[in-house]
Amino acid sequence: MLQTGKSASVRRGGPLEQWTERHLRYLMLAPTVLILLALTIFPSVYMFYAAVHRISPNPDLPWEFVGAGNFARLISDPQFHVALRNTVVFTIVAVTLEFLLGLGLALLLDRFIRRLSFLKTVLMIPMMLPPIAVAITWKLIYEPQFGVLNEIMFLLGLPVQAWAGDVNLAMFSIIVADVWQWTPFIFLLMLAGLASLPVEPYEAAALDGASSWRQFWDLTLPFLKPVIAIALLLRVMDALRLFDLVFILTGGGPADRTKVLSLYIYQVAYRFADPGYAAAMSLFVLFVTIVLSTWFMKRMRLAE
Amino acid sequence: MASVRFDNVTKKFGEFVAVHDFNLEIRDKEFLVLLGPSGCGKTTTMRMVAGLEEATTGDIYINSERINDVLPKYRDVAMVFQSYALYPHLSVEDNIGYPLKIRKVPPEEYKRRIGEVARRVELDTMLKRLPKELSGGQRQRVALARAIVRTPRVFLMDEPLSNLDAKLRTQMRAELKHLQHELQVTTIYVTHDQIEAMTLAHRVAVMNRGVIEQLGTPREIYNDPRTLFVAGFIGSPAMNLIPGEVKDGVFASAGLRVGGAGRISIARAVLGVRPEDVHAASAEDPDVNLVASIYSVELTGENTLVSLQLGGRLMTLRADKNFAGQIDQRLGVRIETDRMFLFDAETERRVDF
Amino acid sequence: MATIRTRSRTREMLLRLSAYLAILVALILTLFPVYWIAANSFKFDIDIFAVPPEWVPRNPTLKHYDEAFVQRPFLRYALNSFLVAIGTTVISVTFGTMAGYALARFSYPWQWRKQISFWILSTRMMPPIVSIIPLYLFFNYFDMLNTKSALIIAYTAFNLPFATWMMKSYFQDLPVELEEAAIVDGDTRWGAFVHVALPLARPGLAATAIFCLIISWNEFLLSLVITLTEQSQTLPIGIAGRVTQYSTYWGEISAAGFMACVPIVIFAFLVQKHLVRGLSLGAVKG
Repeated sequence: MLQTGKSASVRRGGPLEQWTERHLRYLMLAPTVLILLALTIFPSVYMFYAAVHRISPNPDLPWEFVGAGNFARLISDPQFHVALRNTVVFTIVAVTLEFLLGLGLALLLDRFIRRLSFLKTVLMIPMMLPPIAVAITWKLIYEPQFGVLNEIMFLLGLPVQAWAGDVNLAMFSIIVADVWQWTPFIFLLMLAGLASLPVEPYEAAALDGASSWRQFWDLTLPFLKPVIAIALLLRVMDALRLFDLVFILTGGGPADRTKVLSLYIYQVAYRFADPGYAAAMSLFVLFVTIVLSTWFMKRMRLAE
Repeated sequence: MASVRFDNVTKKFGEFVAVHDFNLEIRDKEFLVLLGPSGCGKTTTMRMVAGLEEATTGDIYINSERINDVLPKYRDVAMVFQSYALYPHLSVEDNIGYPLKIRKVPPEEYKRRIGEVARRVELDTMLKRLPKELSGGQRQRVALARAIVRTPRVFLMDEPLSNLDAKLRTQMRAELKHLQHELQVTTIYVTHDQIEAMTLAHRVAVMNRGVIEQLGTPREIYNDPRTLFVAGFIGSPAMNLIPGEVKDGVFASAGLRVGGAGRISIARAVLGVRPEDVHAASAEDPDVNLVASIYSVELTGENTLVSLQLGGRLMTLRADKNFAGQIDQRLGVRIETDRMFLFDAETERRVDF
Repeated sequence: MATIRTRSRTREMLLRLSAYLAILVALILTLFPVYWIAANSFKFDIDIFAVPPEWVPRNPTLKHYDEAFVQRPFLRYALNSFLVAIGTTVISVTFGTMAGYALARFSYPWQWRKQISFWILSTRMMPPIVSIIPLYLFFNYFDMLNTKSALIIAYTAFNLPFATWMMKSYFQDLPVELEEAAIVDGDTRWGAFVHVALPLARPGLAATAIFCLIISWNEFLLSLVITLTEQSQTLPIGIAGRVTQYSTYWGEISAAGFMACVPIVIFAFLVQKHLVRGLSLGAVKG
């Protein structure tokens, strides 16, 4: 009996091996969960703490508790309202344009793309480039005096513009640069979606005499819905964090026309040295993105 | 030397009960087939032996050792998967040698054993190839070789032949049977194919909805089905199962009367009779149990399968290959009463008479 | 019958024509800005300011490359970018692969798998602006501002969820029987991961690593806040630093900007096949 017990424990492996095998599911997940907890939960809590204080630029002075004061400022601060409006306008216009252009191009080229795989290769370049490089490139193109865009306007007999420096065109200029960089993203995702469409329903629909327009509405769009949702989710989340392009192209100007939330928070935190209020605004942005992305992901069952 | 025993084993996936209060002892050197339709729990049962699933309750033993808590690597069982599960990044040699490498077998013995096994399954000329360069049958052999390279205590085979074409399957079936006989290793074999079960098994456990419906030799299962499910599942073409009523030992259903069931009575009964135990006779013959019109006539080569219209259903009989009846023709039928079965439709169990 | 056929043939022609036209326009619009920054980086200042613009550099020069990478510390910035990218990629891919595998394969009590996957994805969605204030205060407290370690930690916050989700999607594509076979063959659960799953996921692993490198290389905002010194600043910050309120050093930033793009384009070609999956965090398999 004793002997059996001993040999059994040898054959079953040591206690460490037993324990590791049984807890492997937790052991493999733990580092990531702990790192991400440290990098997200800690900042969130700390930010909440910062948001209820007035923090002096002088590090020797203690933080002054102001309760909901910073949050109250969100409601009364006209600059914040401008930044919020600019962010919303940018997000809606840029993502809509990118979506329509990307989807249209994908539908048009779907049948030809197999022979044109180099096109996919070329089109992926803009979105991989460093946003800063994209920003200076467009700054060079928009440059009012010697920029290439004004040269084209001139050649076409149109009035030259200040573009990023023009009160009415600044936001438009930012949007164009963003559309240039991110339309290919929608295009490639839509192509991937189209490539996975089954053939049979289309054959059936064609036999039933459905027009191409009907086929698009009744078949293509419903099939693409999951891919469209993912593409839009990622683009909207990305658009909400817009910073680099604005920082380089306009610096938020002229007349605050391109001041977006990220930029305003940055300015408040560092130029105006008011981290408490910036933290309050950050919490607002965090809240909005969590609500938006949760809604999106829940609807799409992305976590499956 | 290994027997496998299940003591009241239950496996649940969430609310779904895959295996219910399962009891079975697989004897040393036995070839046991778990047979049943998909979703009956047969694969789950086998995976619990391998340690790929944990029993929710109950105990599993190999010999006298309870293995519920033994890590898979220490259970010393080998498994052949339905998809073969060959490691695509390893050559045939490394695939076969993987179990040895894990056990740190010394190089000379490693080489020797791989060579031995490869010769046995006729793969010795393709040891350097990758799985994707092999045919379906060859892949199957690699999977088999990987299982037998280390003489495990138990072989587990999960529908190993189902991805082969019909001809190869028949051939491999014979080889498997021979191999098991030669190696004398306890084998649990899962399949939904009754021909495989009948031809390979020492004993068959017919499973349905997580329980064993009947356990017995292939002959017992075929000749002596204990439940309606087993009666309907085993045999091709399937046994005729005709609902009706038994009164004083006489079964009656639309147009059909069969006597000879002693003196029993069953309000809701099912008559079971295999096609080969139903004989064609002249419609004028006074001894026939039934006269019905022919619905279809199918020549299989060795016999003719004749379907008759009986109420709203069909009754099949296996007739001589020279059977000459035509569709819609009236045909008399005689049933071998000592080869018929009666089932209680309520309990789905057989009623002896 | 004849008319229908003619009409559909005309339509087919029109479709084809407009498709090729669209391709042409898309190619020009996509490539011109990239060409333009490259062209300007090889021009003398006077030619950059030329009106009408000089479409092809007439007197090509490497002057601005000399300015940026020899006289000014852009080489240093590039090295910083590179080191930070490598650091965060190693951490993210190592832990992300394990977590991705765990989420692809294991079951957890109380629907943890779903909840944790979901939570990890949402950390990826978090805008960087949200974390810069606490990270700044945190690094300030531990005296880590202006260090590459601080950047590596900050970048891990978004690369780790990315790597986890990417690897999860690659592992989900692998048939689970292979690992089960390894386990029955006598390997441990961990051994099945290392010996079987990992080698088979190697292409995905490489793609994920390259994506992490690209994402870190391109990052701007966090680096802008955390680093102020030459020893720690990354390439994008260096470039932005030469766009001042008073003057913009066009030649220099064109040269540096173009050089910042070159490795990215090479990397992009390497991950071409995995691009759609990478861009959609593993959700769309291209």
